[in-house]
Parts: sequence; structure tokens; C-alpha cells
Amino acid sequence: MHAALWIPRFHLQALLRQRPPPRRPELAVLDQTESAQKSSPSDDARLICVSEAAEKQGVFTGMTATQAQARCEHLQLVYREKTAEEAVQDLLQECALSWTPDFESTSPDLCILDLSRAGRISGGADACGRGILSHLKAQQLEGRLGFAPHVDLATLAAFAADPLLIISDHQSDEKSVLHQLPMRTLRPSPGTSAILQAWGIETLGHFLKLPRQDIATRLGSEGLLLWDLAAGNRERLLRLIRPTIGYREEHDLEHPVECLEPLLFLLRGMLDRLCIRLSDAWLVAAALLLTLRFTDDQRHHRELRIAEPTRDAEVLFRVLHSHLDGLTASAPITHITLEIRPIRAASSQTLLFEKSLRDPNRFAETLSQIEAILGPGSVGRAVLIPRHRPDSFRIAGFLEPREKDLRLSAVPLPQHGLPLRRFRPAKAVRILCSQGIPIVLHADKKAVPLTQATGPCLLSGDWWDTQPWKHEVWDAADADGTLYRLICQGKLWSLDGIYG
Amino acid sequence: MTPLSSKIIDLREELKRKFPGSVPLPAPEAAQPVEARPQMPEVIKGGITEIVGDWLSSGVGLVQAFLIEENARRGQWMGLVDGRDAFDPWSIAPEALSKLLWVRCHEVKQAVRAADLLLRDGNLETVLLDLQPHSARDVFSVPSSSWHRLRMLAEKSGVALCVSTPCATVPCAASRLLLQHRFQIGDQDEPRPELLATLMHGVARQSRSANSLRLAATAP
Repeated sequence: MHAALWIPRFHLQALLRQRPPPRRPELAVLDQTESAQKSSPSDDARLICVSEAAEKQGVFTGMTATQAQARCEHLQLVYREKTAEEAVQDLLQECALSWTPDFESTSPDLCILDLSRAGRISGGADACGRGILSHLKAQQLEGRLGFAPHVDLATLAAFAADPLLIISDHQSDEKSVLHQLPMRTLRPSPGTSAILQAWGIETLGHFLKLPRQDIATRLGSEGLLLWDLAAGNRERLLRLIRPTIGYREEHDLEHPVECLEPLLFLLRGMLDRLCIRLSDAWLVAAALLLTLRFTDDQRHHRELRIAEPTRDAEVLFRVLHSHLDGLTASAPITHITLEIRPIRAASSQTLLFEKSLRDPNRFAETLSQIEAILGPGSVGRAVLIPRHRPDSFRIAGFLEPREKDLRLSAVPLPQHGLPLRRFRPAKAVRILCSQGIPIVLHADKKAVPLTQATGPCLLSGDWWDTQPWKHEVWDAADADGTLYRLICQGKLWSLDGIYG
Repeated sequence: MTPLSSKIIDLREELKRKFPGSVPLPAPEAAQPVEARPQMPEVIKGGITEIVGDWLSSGVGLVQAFLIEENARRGQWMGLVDGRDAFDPWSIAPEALSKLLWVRCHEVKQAVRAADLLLRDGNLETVLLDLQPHSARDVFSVPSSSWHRLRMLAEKSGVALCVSTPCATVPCAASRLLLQHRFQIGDQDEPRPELLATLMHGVARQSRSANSLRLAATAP
């Protein structure tokens, strides 16, 4: 069983809900907002909704304001209000949701409910319908409700209801009420509407008297669709509205938190609730977004990525715990916000011969613990930056996906000599030269005689930029067999590293 | 080695007879120049291997580079706890860096703590703890109980821990390599495999036996 819940004269009801009752009942709503009219005034605004009293005086939707006022002297024209209409649409959806989670918002003024799984319908469609209408009445809205086995038939029943119409499976007599409905309730295209008017077809009853086959021949597929709609035989599925679920929890603290334990206690509760919501939606957490607000109005915001997305509250809690362990704050916490960025669980499989980490989440936790000891940027994967400037690299997150830099394929592989072991930053030294060749190294208050030196190897770069650089690189050895890499910039020498 | 069942032996004989070309002949053992090939550095799974380089250019970096590249070739994850932030990523093949976790420390204590966490975690197959750029005094400041704890963690998690030090420090090392070769400046033009072979010829190996380390082989 389906129920169609319709708000007749939707735009007018939305407006009048928030206003005092009008002095005269002849009202019409223009298809233009007041602000739009002020910004670009135009006289061709048409009516989108007309009150019953105005309709009796020959005013119909689609007329221009001038035409309408020519027919009805006392007609009061009002501009539509989109915010009020949205509020009424929300109310309509809320009403539908209070009866069943399976409903379609067909248009702003119409909701169709699938009551096949609703237990309360067992009390009878009549009782259920009156309950829905009284719910709307409490919101100062007048509704029409139609019950029928099929979706489109229920819609027609709502259009014909006053205020309730129930069409059961076998009582075809009730269908005859629908035959009095005007053809415009089926919303035909302007071309087809003009043809039907020319034929003198005004109601569904008239239309249904025409043979279906001939309608198909003369009006094509649209005519056939209209005929089936009018006959109430068409079946279709609802486009169900699902409320958007937020994976966010906020907590305002009456007493500011100063220690880690109470904060963890609160976070654990928030996390548990969020994980239940994730579980209901078959989703997993890809990242945790934690925001802490302190009494001195400072904020701490951090996105904690989950190495292997999961909805295991224990694992997620450990990630939070590890992060908070290394956090220090100058003031107590007054507000906590925890949000989860949900994703669908990965369905891909790693390559057969590629080894993966045993427990990526635990590893991510370990990395955050190490980072808390050493500071940010101290742990990760080294990514070479293809430049000639010495020591050009950046640290990328170890669990981040790898990006292959094609420029690095042109870099020659280090296949010769001992690897360099750097001093970061390079150690400033004094060098004594003889005939331009380093012979003594003065470092750490010691003078080290150099037995061999090769170079210089000239390096330069960024000459096109504001900070050009130019190096002379020397390799030198002392009597003990230590191999140095020296750099000369102008007259300044530095020890870049030691080969070893 | 367990003896093969007679059915398998018969089956192999039958295969050899029918498809003589498809069965590879085992290479004669005598043809392998065992003595000519130096033994490459290896790390012991679930234990500590100590690499001792008494002076700065002793080749510790060369051994580390070999281990990093070898691990990456095998597709294994490795961690380098860089005790003095001395590692130069440009000295390693870029492909090998993708499997390497680089932990940049500045103090011995930090490095030991980071290694401890990585061993507890157990996700990496090998952890290199490089303390060689530090002075012997700093490295000796690590209490022996810490080394025993690291050994136990390595044993428990099955991770191979390789510690580079400026002097023999780790009391519970399962194996110790003493690098003794002195390189010349001209060696910078030599290919790395040759340098490594030279280095390993001159290495002194000590392996753990009962309570103490004994000298296993010394060459040349």
C-alpha cells in the first residue's frame, strides 16, 4: 500500500503560515521573489498559485499579473518566498519520515510513502490517514492524502481526495472519483495539452474513454504514458529519500578538562557512537578530525589519517590516544569536536608478490608515537627532489601512496664510491690551502693534515632565480683514512659530510 | 633433510627419461668458486647484529646501503633509525627508498627509544640502528639492560636488528662484524660491489656462543 501526501496550493500555504490572515480571500502568488523583482523589475511575472476565491473569479495559474487583475478587481498579488517553501517541504518530509523511512519526495508539495513495511497501517488506512492529516494540521498545513496499491494511483487519489481517499485493490468503484480530475493533474507537455484541449478532453474520465491503441497512434509514447497514469495501472519504484547521516560529535564541557584521562573517556564515548553509525551504513573511517577548543580561545585541529580504514573503535581510539599523548596545551579544554571521514571499505587486493605490512594501523600508531618523540617531519619516507642542489629531498608520510616521479628515472644510480654520511647542517670549518688545494682542515679546535684532495667539482643552480648558488666540492682524505667532503662557497668552507 | 619417497624418485627418473631437456642438471659443486666470493653482510632474524666501525670512513654506510638495497630488492620493509641524521638518500638507489622508513634522530637516547618502538611494533622485517656517527662515550651511555631489552623484543617479534656502533658495545649481539679495511680517496671511483667485496674480505666476524662472543674468523 502507498500513500500520497499532497499540500494543495503549496506556495500560498507556505506564505500564509507565517503571516496574519489576509483581509480578502482573493490571493495569487507570483513566480518571482521580492528581492529578484527589486533587482530586475519585470511585468511578465506569471502566477504559480491561486486561492480558491480567486479561481472562482476566473484567475488561473500561468496568467500574467495584468491578466489576473483584469479578471479580479480585488486580487492581491504576493511574491513567493523560497525559504518558507523549503520549510514546508522539510515539514512534509518530517511528517512522512515519522510514518515510514521509505518515502519519495516527488515534488516540493508531494511525498509518496511506501507503507508496506509500516506496522501502524495495520490499524486501518483510515485511522492512519487521519493521523497523518492531524499531524499536518498541527503544523498549520492543510493536506490531502490518497491511499492506493500503486504509486501513481496514490498520487491521483491524493489529488482527488477531500481530504482523504482510499482506493483498495478490488474496489474499482472508488477509481471512478479519479475520472473527475482535470487533465492538468497528469502534467502533459504544452503541445499534448493543446491537442487534448482541441479534442475537448478535459478530465481523466474523458481521456480514458478513448482507446489506448489509438492514443498511442496519435500522441505517441507520451499519450500512452498519460493513458496508463489515468487508468492507474502503471507501476514504478519510489526514489527513496535517505537522510544524510553526519559522522560528527561535539561536546561542550561545563568544567574545563585539564588532564588526558577525562578527555580520553569522553572521546571513547563519542568514538563508540560514531562507529555504531558507521557500522549501520557499512562504512569505515578513513580519517579522524579532532578539534579541541581551549579556554584561551585557542584551537587545536588535527586530521589523523587511518592507515587501514576501519570502524574498530579500539583501533581508532589508539590512534587518538597516541596523538594526544604528544600534545601539550597552555590552557584547559572547553569544547571537543570529533568527526569521522567515512569511506567504503576497500575491496581491492594487493599484488601476489607484494608484501604488505602485518598491521598497518598499529604501524601508523607506532609512527605517531615516534613522531611525538622526535617532532613532526622526522619520520617517513625520503622522496628525492630532482635538483642539483645538494641534499634535496622531502619527507613523505610512510603510509601515503607512492608517487612515481619520472624525472628521477634520469638520475644516475649511485654505483661508485662510498655513500656520503652528512652533517646537517654542514659544519663550518677553516681550510688551509696550498696552491689552491686544501692541505689542512681546522675543525673542532683540531688541525687535521689532509694527505690527498681531489677537486674541485663545480656545482651551481637557481641562477635564473633570486637566490642563485654556486659550490666548489672537494673530496679529501687524512692520514687515518677518513674521507671528507668539503664545500667551498666563496671564501667560506664547510664540511658537508664524510664518506663511509 | 628428509629422504624422498620412492614414488617421487621413480617419478623423477621417469620424467628424466621421457623429457631429458626439461629437467635442469644440477651444477657441479666444485665449479662454484666459494673461496673467491666474499660473504656478503647478513643480519640475523630475531637477534642483534652489530657492525663496528672504529673510524668514520670504515664502510658502515656501504654495508647499510647494501642491506637497504638488498631488502628493497626482496620487497621487504626496513627501518633506518638514523642516530645523528646523517643518512644521505641520494647515496641509495631511489627504488630502495620506497621500502625504507627513515627515522631521523639526533641523540642516542632518542634513537634507542625509536628502535624499541619499531621492534615492539614488529611490522618491519629489519631495523637498522645507526649509532656509528656518535662518539663511543655517548654509545656506551646506553645501559646494557637496554640492549638486552632490544634483543628480547627482536626475538619476540622476529625482527632483525642491525646496530652500527663506533666500538663493540652491544653485549648480547648474536653476530658482530668488525670493519677493518681502510679506504683511499681513489676508491671513490670504484664500483660499489667491488668496494663491498674488499671490505668484507677484511672483516672480522664474531658470533655469539653461550655467554660471550668468540672470534669466529678473521681475514685476511
